[in-house]
Amino acid sequence: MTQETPISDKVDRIETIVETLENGDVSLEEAEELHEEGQTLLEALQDDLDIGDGTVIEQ
Amino acid sequence: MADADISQTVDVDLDSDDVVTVETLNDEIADLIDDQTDLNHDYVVGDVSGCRDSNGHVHFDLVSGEASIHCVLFGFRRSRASIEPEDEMRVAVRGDLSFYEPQGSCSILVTDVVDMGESDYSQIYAENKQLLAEDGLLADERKQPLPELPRTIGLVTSADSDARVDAVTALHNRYPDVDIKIQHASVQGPDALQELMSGVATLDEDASVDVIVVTRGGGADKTLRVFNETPLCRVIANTDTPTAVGIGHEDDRTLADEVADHRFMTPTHAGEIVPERAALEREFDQLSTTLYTAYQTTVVNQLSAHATVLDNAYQSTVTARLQELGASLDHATERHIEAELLSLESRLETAYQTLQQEKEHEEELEETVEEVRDEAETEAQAQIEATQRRYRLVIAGLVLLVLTLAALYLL
Repeated sequence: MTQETPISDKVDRIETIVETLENGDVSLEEAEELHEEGQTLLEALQDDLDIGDGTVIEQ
Repeated sequence: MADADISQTVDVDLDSDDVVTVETLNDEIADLIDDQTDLNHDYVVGDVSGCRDSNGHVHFDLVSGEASIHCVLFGFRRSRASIEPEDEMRVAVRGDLSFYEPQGSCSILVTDVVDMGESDYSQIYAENKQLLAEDGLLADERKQPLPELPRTIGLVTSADSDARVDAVTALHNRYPDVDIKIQHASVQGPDALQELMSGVATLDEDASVDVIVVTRGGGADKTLRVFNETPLCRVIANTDTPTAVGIGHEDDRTLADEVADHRFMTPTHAGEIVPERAALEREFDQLSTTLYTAYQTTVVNQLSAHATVLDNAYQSTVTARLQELGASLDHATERHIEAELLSLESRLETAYQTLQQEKEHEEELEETVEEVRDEAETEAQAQIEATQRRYRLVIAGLVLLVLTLAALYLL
């Protein structure tokens, strides 16, 4: 996923990761990789929230 | 009739004696209307506009061409009226002309309403809608989705209007970071159509604008009609940038609403174009917690499973090794015992042999002793017998002697 990936897609991916982890059919290595991917996506989502300065430009 | 108010304006030089207050003027107008029987008509025909219920009374404007007059059907008369007036109806109203002095406004106090069919404008509205529909501009399939988080919103509205303030406030209340570019445009009047189209087109050419919002506050239906004009609707429908339109009050509908990609009810509802940042942050925090919990649970379960496997493997290994060692020990013990037994057997055999030899030797000795004894006994017996024979001879001699003596003696 990239920075341009829609927020909803990132959220969906994290929810899929959570479901995969909760199903328990993953090794420790896979769990760690999934957790790192989820953390990266969460950081990207936080970055996505900072979209501007709230400027009002009269044209 | 103007003299009554002169004393109230003594400090001002107006170069006239005919000066009155609004109150006086309105009183005079009211008197004129009350006295003017020519103004009392059986019916007044016009189109219903801005129809609304207020405290049980029906208020509406009766419109004809560019002219309109306010009408009110009081609650106690509603059940007796032929019909209930509705927007876009052409009606004939019967009633009394009344001048409301505090506001200087004229109204018809309606006693009856008669349906005269559709209004002129409703026909125009229907024709415009038909044209837009024929061009496919009302189809849901062509509507673009709004960006889930627009960075910059282009706003087309009237400068310094309440709608502008409400829309900007609503947007920033939900998402304070979003940038807003405002294209000012008249929203009613002769310049409105051109300025609204220009505003939308200008924002559509601005690549930084993610969504275009067109809005204005409520007003008489007549003042909203520019938003039913097909040129404006076509501009809104054909933008590359997604559009959202919110015109008037909650129950106001315009064709601009229908061609836009998204409709919101009033300028205050413009905020729904953006997500609520606080809600997103809560959602992301919840996701973070859920992700961490799922990961922790997975790790704990996996480690527990690995520990169990490790314990089992250790137990199996230890058990197998112990069994091997036990078997080796048993085997070694058996070999040791066998060796010991062999050794003992050998020693026993040797001892037995030795004993046997000793026994034989003893027997030999015994035989020898026996022989010696026998010899000794034989010899002793022989000696005894010899002695006995000597004794017997002696005795016999003695007896013979005795006998001889006895015989002799007898003799």
